[in-house]
Amino acid sequence: MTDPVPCVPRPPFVLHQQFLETAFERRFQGILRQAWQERSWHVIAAVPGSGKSLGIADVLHQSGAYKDTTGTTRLPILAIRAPKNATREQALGMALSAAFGIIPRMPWAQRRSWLVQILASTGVECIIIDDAQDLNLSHLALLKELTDNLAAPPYERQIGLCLVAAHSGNVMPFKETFARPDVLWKQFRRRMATENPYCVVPGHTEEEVRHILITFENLYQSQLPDLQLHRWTKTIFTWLINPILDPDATGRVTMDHLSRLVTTSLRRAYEQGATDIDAATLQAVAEVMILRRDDITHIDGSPDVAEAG
Amino acid sequence: MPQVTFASPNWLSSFPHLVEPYPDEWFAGLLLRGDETNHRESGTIWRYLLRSTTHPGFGPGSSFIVIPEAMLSYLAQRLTISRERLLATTYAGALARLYATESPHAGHLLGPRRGVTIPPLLEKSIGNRASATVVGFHVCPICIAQARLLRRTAVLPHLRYCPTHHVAFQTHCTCGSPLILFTRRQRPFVCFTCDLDWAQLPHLQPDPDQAIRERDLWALYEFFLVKGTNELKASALSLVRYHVRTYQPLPSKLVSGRTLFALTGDLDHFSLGYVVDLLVSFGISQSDIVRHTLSAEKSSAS
Repeated sequence: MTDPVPCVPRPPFVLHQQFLETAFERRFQGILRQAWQERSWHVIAAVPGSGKSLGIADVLHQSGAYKDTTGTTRLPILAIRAPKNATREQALGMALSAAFGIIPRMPWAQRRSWLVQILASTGVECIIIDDAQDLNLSHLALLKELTDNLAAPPYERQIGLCLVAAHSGNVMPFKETFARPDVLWKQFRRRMATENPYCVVPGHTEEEVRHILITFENLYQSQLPDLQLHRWTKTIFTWLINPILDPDATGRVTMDHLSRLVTTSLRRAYEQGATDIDAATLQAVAEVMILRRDDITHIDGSPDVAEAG
Repeated sequence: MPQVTFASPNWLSSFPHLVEPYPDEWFAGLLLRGDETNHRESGTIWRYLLRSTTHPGFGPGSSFIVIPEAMLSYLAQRLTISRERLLATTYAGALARLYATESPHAGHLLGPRRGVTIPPLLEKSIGNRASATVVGFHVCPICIAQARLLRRTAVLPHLRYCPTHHVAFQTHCTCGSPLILFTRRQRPFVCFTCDLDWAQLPHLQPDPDQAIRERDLWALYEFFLVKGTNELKASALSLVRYHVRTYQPLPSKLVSGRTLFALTGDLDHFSLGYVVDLLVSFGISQSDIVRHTLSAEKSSAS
């Protein structure tokens, strides 16, 4: 007769948050790097949840930006998020300024010329604007003014520009705007890259999903030792291109949906004491994401509260 | 070379371009260099510091010899350097040693304040633009030309020539306007009236007598600021008292131009500037002080 094995509770599930260089990120960052190297202008669109902001942050971290205490600052890529509900050019100017650090206040007229000086002195080579669908006419006019002033003497610096926008359907952000006959838009269109001025970066194919699932397996194998996620590739892919999750019928999977499905399922499996994931757990989570996505949950009764000693 | 990387939380909490103090750089000079490096008008960082800390500010006539702790700490964060390095741009440490019983203040170096150097007419016309001026503010054009450097030594009273380059400190521009440390709507290190860069001010050499006097002044300042203690200062003043009693029964003219009628008041509270003035005026050197201190120690021991 053997003694029963004492039931040791598992430590809490640990979610890995690190950036994964997926196929989407390689495509997306490829365009960003092209704009940086060739100082070219692009509009880059992808559906929400693709991983655009994470990709921008990763490029930024790898861009070699630094400040040293002898006065030299290098910021090769200046990336900001377009101002929300702020139609005036000052809002974009403030967002651009804030990326450099603490800026003692100054009048807007002074900040305009200061921005050109600081862009030049910190060696900015490419400006990336995330959520660019929120930009308006005055913001775009300011971008043109700043880059034109940098291109002129004494700086004579060409700057790449990436307007990264979320899109849906077959509408390409800014394409219609830049096609208008106004002089400003003509000038803007002239500055766009000769090759690939408007880019749409699609999500993941089934094969790409399989590679990501293998990466997830490696990440979570310490917590779920028998994990074999990749054998569910086809099933997961089919669920995630369901019209509810892929309303534009792109036939591609976004990283947001994929990681939500996987991490929620893994957490459930882990909390049930499993060492691998099973079809039932995956399906339950997929149903929550697809069929019961808009369900309303009633939070009633009194929550369990641990008594304070 | 210390660097702030983009991933560091200090990136967003520091100025776009960072500056670190040069050896012997004066706090106000560091602020001006910070303004220039960051393409800002003269006095921007100073005004930012005043607004961002609870300190009420120094007003006209600020000496920048001792800086409040809150300001030092705040600026140290913005420049990502240690508070100790910023403290070294002031004379707070040296004055704390020399006046051990009190917290250091500008009066310990300069003595009682006697107003600012802005002429009344100028003050009326552009008073609002001169947010901070310094009593007897002057610059060495060669220090400015070589490194945009305002040395701490530029705030020592009675010195009229740069101890490093041996050229006259300039208090006025060639256009006649006084040099003002921080001026709104003007670039750092230039005349607020004619825009002349302070580096282009004339280089005037001292005559032999002036050179000797400047050497003696500087030697005593260096002695007190580097090695000085309250006891050494007291010893120096006892020598001065002996000298006055023995050799100066009549009023005498000091190097600073002041007239000494009698040595009155609490000697412990004499400013360093005044102590050095007395010592140079009576020809007392640092070796005299050391000798006197040693003999006093011997006699008290026996």
